[in-house]
Amino acid sequence: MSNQVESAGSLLSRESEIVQHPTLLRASIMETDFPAAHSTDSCWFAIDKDGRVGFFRTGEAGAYPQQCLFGEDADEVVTRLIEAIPAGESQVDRRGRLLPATEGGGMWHVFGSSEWPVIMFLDSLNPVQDALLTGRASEFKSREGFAILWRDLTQPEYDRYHQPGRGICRGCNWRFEDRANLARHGIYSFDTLGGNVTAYPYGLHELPTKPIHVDQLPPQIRDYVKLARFASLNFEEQPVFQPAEHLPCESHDGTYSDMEGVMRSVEDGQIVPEE
Amino acid sequence: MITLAGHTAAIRSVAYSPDGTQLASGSEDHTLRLWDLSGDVEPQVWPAFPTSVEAVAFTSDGLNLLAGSSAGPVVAFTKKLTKRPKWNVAMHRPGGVCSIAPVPGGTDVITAGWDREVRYWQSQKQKSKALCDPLEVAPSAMALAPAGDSLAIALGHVPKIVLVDMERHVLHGSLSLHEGSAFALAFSPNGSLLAAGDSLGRVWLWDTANPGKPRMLKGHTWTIYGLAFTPDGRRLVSAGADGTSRVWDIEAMRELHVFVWHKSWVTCLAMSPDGLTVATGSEDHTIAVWDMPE
Repeated sequence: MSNQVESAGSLLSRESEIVQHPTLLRASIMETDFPAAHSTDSCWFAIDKDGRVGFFRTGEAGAYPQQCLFGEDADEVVTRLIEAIPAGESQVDRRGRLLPATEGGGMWHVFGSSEWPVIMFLDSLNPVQDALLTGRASEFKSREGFAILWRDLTQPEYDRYHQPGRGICRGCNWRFEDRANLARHGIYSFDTLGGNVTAYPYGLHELPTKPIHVDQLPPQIRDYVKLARFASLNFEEQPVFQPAEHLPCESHDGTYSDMEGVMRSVEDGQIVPEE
Repeated sequence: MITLAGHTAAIRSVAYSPDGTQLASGSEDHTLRLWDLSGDVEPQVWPAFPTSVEAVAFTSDGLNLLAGSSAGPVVAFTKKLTKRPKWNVAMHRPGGVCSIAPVPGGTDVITAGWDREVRYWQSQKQKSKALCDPLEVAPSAMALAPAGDSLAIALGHVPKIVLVDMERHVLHGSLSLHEGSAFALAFSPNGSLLAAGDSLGRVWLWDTANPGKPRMLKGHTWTIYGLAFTPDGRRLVSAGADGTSRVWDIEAMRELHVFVWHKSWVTCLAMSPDGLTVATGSEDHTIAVWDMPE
């Protein structure tokens, strides 16, 4: 992925119409250190049909629009947005963690640690009441059902909620708390689903309770964020989608997995024969 | 309703001339357009802005049109968009111009910029000076009271509107929205009310003489980007990110009409001087000029 980021280059120098902006982002931003700026993965921004703002993490393999605020420029905007927009509440959506066309519903079950806490989705809080009461876990706002945040989950605890046939845990994912949480600043936060090799669809990992509208942003940021627009999508209602099905995209190997799990070429959308 | 088409990107600002015969529009396509509303004359276009044209305004005497861009220049024209403008001054850098408000009864205007500065422009002399201390954060909207004695400025992403005493050039008060932030402001024609449209879709109404208990109009579902009173002060028009334009009865505090004129969200709004028509600009690249209902 790092090669892709470098080959994509700096948006500021790539897009002639953007070079015309004389007041751009770098000057006041690069002095501010921020963990996201050093990630090996990359990120990009886009808006939906109504002007909701989405932030997308590619992971190692996610496809990204040919024209979008991408990479280091996106990192700079992340920093500015966090500075400019007061933090509010965010919530999680289990549907945004489901990789479509996958056996077992596409939900992961992962083991957490103090370094990487996990979000666990449940139909009821009853099975975890003791953990909540003792502070071993804390409730997290969820759009459907319930979600709790585990820090340093032990093996016996993990086993208790994953006993075959009991169906207590409806899926658990890591929550990378060292990363910028833009959902708290009004922005829909997407991650690629699945592994690190295939350009799978993106899922809505965290969303704001009070979303910002793109025209609330300063013009310089607004104009960049609007470079990629999903004219038929509503981030609120479609928590999983494949960007390459909506906009011309690039990916590390020129392919993506569509919503049916079929591998296609980013160039023309044609099915790529399995090797 | 008539649609003014020609811009190739979102409309950022619209303003009627004081005599109501012309409409100016600024767009993300980097152009300023001047539309003749009295006939079928093609609009004049001034294409030389380096970036988005964020704010447009006529001076109160109608002799000058000013436009400000997100790259900073404030450009002034006389009645026509001549190739060479009357003047062109770089200001509000970095960040550019956010809003322009004409000062009643003359040629002066006030500009607010993303650099947090508020400046008073003597249009004839092409000079400007800081009106007050820099704002604590960049502004999101501005409105000057009809008497010219008080300036309201909404602070972006902060639930606060500050009031500037125009005689002493100092901040003399503030209004709280408790949560959210305002992106549209308008004074009623007699100055007795200040309306604010916020990021949560609420319209706040303060009695300027007794602002302690604001009233609220609810109907919009997202950020309000435009507000205007009718000249008689009995109606208020609002429009915004939910794509609707709404007409409100101020005395009864109720919604009278909801219109959807555009294919996308509404970015700006202006009321004609006679109160008979409203112009709304949109992300869909068009301006709708529509009749105010009876």
